[in-house]
Amino acid sequence: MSWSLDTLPPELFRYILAYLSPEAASALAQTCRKMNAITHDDKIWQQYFFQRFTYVVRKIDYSNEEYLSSIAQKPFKLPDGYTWQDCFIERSFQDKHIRSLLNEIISTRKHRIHNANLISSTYGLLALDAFKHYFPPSPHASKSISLDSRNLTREYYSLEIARLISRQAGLALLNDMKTRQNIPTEGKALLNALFIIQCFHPDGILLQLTRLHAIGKRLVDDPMFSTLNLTEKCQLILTTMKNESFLPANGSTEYYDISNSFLFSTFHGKPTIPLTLVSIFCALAEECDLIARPLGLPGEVMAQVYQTSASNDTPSVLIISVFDGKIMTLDEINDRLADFLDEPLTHPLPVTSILELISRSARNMINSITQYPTSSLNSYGLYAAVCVLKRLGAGALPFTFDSMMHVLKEHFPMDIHLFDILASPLGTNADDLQRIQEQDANPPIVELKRREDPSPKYFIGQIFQHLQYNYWGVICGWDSSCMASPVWQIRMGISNLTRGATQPFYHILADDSSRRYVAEDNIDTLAFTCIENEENKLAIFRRLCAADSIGKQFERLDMANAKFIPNLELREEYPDDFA
Amino acid sequence: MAGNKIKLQSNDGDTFDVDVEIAKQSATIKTMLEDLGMSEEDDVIPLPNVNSAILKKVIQWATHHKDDPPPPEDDENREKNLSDISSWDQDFLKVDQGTLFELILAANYLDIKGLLDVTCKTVANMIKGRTPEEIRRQFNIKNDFTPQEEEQIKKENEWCEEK
Repeated sequence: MSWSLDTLPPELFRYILAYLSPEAASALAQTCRKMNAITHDDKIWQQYFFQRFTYVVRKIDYSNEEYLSSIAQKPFKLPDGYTWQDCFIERSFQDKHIRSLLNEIISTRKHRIHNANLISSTYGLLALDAFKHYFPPSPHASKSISLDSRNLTREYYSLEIARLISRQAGLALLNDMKTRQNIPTEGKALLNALFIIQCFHPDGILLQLTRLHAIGKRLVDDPMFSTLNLTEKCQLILTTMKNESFLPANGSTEYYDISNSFLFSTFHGKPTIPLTLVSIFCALAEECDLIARPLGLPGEVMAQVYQTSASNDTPSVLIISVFDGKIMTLDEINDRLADFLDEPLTHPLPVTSILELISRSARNMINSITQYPTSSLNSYGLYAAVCVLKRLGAGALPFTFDSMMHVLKEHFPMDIHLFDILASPLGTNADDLQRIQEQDANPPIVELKRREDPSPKYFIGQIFQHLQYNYWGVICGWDSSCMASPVWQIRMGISNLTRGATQPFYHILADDSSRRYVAEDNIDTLAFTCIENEENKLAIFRRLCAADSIGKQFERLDMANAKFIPNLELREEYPDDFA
Repeated sequence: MAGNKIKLQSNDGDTFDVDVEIAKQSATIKTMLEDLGMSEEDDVIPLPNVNSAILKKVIQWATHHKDDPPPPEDDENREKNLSDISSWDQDFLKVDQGTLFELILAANYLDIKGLLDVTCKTVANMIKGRTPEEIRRQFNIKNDFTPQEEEQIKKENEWCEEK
């Protein structure tokens, strides 16, 4: 008897099905009745669903039981009468809609803000699955995609919208927290609260916290663990944290760095502040079945730890300075803080509320911004601090409304819900919002930059090296003479240049992501061709492709000709450059 | 124990001498040897579900793959990679469909994961990227839908269009 595809035993057929993409299974279903019946195997469609989709809910509510980052990805039960195939097909249609909206956003300024917010409000976290294939490749990606096949504009917009979605998730969680009566303080609660702040980070909600599950499990699975007393267990957790690179920041520059307030840097090995370390300690303690709560003391947040034994005596408590790696008894901490406390601490110890701690984190961020005004994370930190302090009603911000709005609107032009958070003292929010929406619906016509004699020497997209400061950059625009203010010209010493202000000036994007304005005399486009080492050339390409917002103006890198190809919008503005 | 051989017998009576280590790539045979205490010297292992031609091919595959590391745990949640079939395996599997399916059945019966994987991947590759009509032609499948049924099925699968 000759075997064929439709006579194979069902379990073998299922084996083959597991190797097919859902699209191929669909094509197979359309061949004959038997194939149609066999491919309706819902177990396979469940597998297809979880192979393709990670996020299963649009939004998450605050929880202290699970890590917030993993709630959106928890396996779920199907509603009655619904098959996995139904689920899969529905998501596929949603996916397609999301991607068509993204294409609209990329190809035209009209309704860009509206569409971005439409994706966020309609689909929320589900859109992250649609976008994940479009994100810029991570620097540690195993399979590296060739630089000139990357669609930089699509990378830019998919990332920007994902960040928008992440920020809105953070806001929703803040709202959720505010309405809850009693937020518990032990276990994962504090870490989850800090995760809300993480939502405002450029890497946003994509940060996974489940690594802590694995660390905790390893501790608990060790048979020796249950034989340890409370002090020894705490010591083991402290040591483990050090080994896992959850370290205290040293020196004031490191200490006041705004990245300390975001979990992202901590989980990537950057030493951090007590508040963050305590949150990780408490989460790990919970994994090990201990009760740990934050304890906000003058100058430092510490942890208080109890054992969950059913003992009738007053439970012994340990107070842990996670930052210093010191474990103390009640007496020892009272000694240490004698000068700072009005009265010695006694049982039961006060527990600092989660809302208080998250506000504390916001104030830390404000401090960092004030101390280091040029950090690239500052706009994200400001956004987070504003949302936390405003939503939780936790005090005034030290900046004026105008200065904050200026920064936030510049960096987050699509976030119209900023108007819900920051009330204008002059009551102009509604007008401003309306103006933005009108401009979004009818974008003003961009003034064309036509080349006239004498024409600027260089073109949009060219890669160059700055003659004086030696950094590499790409040309994003030009003016036939210097259009900057006289103050700027004096500050930059423009009159010292050979041709002064009466030469073409170029808007450029440098390889450190900064945008600058450069005189033609300082532009060297031949430098690149003089590089002999291919690796060095590639490194320059890579750095430029990794510059923030390169995709806002450029669609692709043309490696052969050492230039970037402008996207539609830029081509429209400079029609003569792209002849 | 190098060089120890075992005798495998196909369902049509042919016997093949095979190195024990090579034969043990089949978890079924491995179980028979270890758990059922079959001695390695004189006994003949009968394989009633495999004919001579197929058994010969299986032995050929197992011999070539004898030094392979054990296959990794299946991750259900990763879309499978269909493009990592070695060129030797590709040549080995340039056979008619009947043989290909018989190899799948044999690999399943003998529980040889590597062979099962590569044969199923090969079939999957024959389906992937093809329209229903092309798949029918490839596998000689008769279209037994009524026109209305066909319309209906097409509609159900509309979600696939323009990926």
